[in-house]
Amino acid sequence: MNRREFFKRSLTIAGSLLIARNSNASDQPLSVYSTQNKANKKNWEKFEELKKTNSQIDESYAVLVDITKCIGCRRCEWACNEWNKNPNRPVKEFEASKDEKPSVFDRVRRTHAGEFTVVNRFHSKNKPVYVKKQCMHCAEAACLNACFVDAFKKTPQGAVLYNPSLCVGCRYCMIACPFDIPAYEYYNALTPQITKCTMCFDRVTDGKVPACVESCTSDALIFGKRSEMLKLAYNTINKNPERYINHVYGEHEAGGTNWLYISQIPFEKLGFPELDKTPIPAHSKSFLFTVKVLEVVAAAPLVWGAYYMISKNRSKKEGKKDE
Amino acid sequence: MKRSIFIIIVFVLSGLILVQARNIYSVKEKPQTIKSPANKISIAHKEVFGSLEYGRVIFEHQKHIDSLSKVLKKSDSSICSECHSQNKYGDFIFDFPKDVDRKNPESLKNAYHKECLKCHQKLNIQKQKSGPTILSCRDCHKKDYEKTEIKYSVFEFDFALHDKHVKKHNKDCSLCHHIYDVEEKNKELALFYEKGTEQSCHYCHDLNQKRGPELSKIVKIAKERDLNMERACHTLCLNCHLSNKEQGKQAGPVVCSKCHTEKYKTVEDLKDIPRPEREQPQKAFINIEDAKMKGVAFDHSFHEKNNKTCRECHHETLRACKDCHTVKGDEKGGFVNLLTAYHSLNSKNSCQGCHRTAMNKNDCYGCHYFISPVTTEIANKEVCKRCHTGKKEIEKVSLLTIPSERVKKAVVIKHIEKEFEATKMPHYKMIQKLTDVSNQSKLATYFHRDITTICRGCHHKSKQDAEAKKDNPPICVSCHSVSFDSNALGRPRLESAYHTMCIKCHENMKLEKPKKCTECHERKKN
Repeated sequence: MNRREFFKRSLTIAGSLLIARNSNASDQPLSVYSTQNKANKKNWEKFEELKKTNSQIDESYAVLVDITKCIGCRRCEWACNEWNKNPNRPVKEFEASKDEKPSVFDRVRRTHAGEFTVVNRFHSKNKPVYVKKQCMHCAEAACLNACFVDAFKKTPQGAVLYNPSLCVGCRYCMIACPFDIPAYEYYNALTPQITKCTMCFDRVTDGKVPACVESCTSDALIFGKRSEMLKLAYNTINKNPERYINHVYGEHEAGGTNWLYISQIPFEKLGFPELDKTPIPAHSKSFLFTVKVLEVVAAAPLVWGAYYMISKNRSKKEGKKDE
Repeated sequence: MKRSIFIIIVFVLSGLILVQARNIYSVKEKPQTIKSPANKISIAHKEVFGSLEYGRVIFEHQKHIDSLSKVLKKSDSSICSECHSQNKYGDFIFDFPKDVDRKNPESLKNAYHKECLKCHQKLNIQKQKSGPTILSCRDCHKKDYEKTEIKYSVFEFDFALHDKHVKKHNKDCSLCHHIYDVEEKNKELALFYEKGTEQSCHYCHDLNQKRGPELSKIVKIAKERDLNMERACHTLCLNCHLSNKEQGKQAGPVVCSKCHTEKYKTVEDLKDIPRPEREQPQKAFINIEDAKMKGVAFDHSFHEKNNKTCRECHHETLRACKDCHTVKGDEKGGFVNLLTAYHSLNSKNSCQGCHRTAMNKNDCYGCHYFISPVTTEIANKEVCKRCHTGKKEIEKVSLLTIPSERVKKAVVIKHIEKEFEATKMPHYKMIQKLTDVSNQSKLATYFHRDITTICRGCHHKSKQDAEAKKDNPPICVSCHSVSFDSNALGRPRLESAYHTMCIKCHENMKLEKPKKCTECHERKKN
């Protein structure tokens, strides 16, 4: 056996082992490498199911986050993990992080597989400001538009849902999202999965409020119809003009989102991207459309051209051979 | 061979790109500001020259005075005329160079170069020590100066200094105060002193403020003569100080750093200083003839002592509010009607605006963070009556006392008992602290008439009349439900009500405790 042969064989064995391990991964207990989270899948199935019943929803829901009220207990994180069956720790440890040194709050975190929401700490005038981060559930979602297999859907309830069975794992959605939300399970090559907040679609359709909202100990999170939430947000701002800046983040940002924020300090200082009213997909829509048009119009001449070139080449070669 | 040439070209190109990028992206250094410049003056005249070709000159004013007086063997104070011109009354106009068109950049530049060099060269010929003598730009316009900026802190002529001047000059106000008659044809007679018209320099000489129709005519003239606050004060103060010094009398400072000290007195420091007398009433009765409301008794002398300047209320002239602000509002008062003039929440000059900023103090803000200010549109009779008594005498208000038999000593909160130990809230101690805070402030004492006012800091939004009949105010759980109530989305749940109110009050009052969650509720051990 020479060197080349050795490499070939060892790679084949390794590859087949890998494939074999992944093919029956679903039967195995939770792996240390992967969260094996089913929340996104479960919500998608519920969505498919509900589509058949043809129930009418007149208006989407929204969550209003009052940043001035949040005390940083991280119970929303715990409740989210608990409901979505993500890897979890005792709630005690979540609460303690507020006073701990060093603490998880020391750096600004982002969502990742197994953590659909995170609370970050910022500082303003030496006072801590806690900001919850999760999927904003855009009205015209960038992830939805970037996905070429249509694995995302915007539900009439407001949630942007994800279908893992369609996903090919390209992670375009991760690049497209202006809020840096979709996370990816990196440890599994064959059954790719993006994970993100589902706005507790399963709970909402059962007439409950999202898990994080229910667990909030300071009513920093309020759930209701989007128009009502906007009304409430502006009511709060108008009543206390010196306690809030006159801006409801998410009302217009990226074409409107189903999570709304009000705050006492400008949102740029709290890690929110500065966005205008244009939905993110609007930036790429026209370009992607021309690509499609080009595909339709130019496909035939291109194929013909390629065929012509090949045949010409072949005849040339054959001519050469003949000589 | 070809490959090596290619690599060299790539290297050179990338080097060029890097150099270019550095030029584009490098941040321009901000000039370093000297806060206490030790009598140096920055000469740039931005308003005439715009940006200077060779950057600013930093001029050592005191050094020039010292060396000139040594050479000319004259006293410090008589030397000013060497550089500065005098008007016919013998007052210096602190401009340099003398007699030049200061609006024309070319002539101003030439005058500077000519005057500076003339003097330097003269001294040089006499074999004296002198500054740069030949025209080499960087001798004066040093490269370092481009990075330094000179800024004198604003000088505040506070009541303590005013009082000192009043006493020294035996109440002769005419030395400083004057008015300007716009109607007077003879311009020389237009500026004169009239007793009873004394007011702040700012009114006419602060050219940055927007003024009403009457004052803006005078301000316009001040602007034409380029008499902004800086020049007006320097001319007035320094000339007087200099002539006093000349005559060998006790004189005020003439050196920059003696006035521009960056030290300011607080209201507390000025507490015992008598305020200027200008026939203002000690106690006033504000009663507007055709107004709907009853008159308000106003303690003018108390408010004088609580402000650093008269301008804080009398923003345009030292006249009464109603002189400019009429009931309906007109041009004279900037179309601000009398109601707004007294009650505007956003103005620094109005009663309510000022009282509101007072409520933002740490001591008060614990409760007042949650209490939205009363506006004239929604105020009720009770609230208006506090000021609009209709009596000429100010109401005497007694201090608050706690009816100890009615107030609970401690309240135990047990509603999260499953996870946490019960929280013991020192109810009586809290009320005691708040009552003390209220009793220490005259403003608070006047408006907090009843001990229930303190209660309402926490037991808010309750119907006062209904509770008067009952013994106990409503407790939190009476309104704030434990679980999510979809009918009242704006109303916090019980846990949230506690968290929001307790934490925000402690935060706003800057209280030391509690810092940690466990300082209020200990987790149950099991």
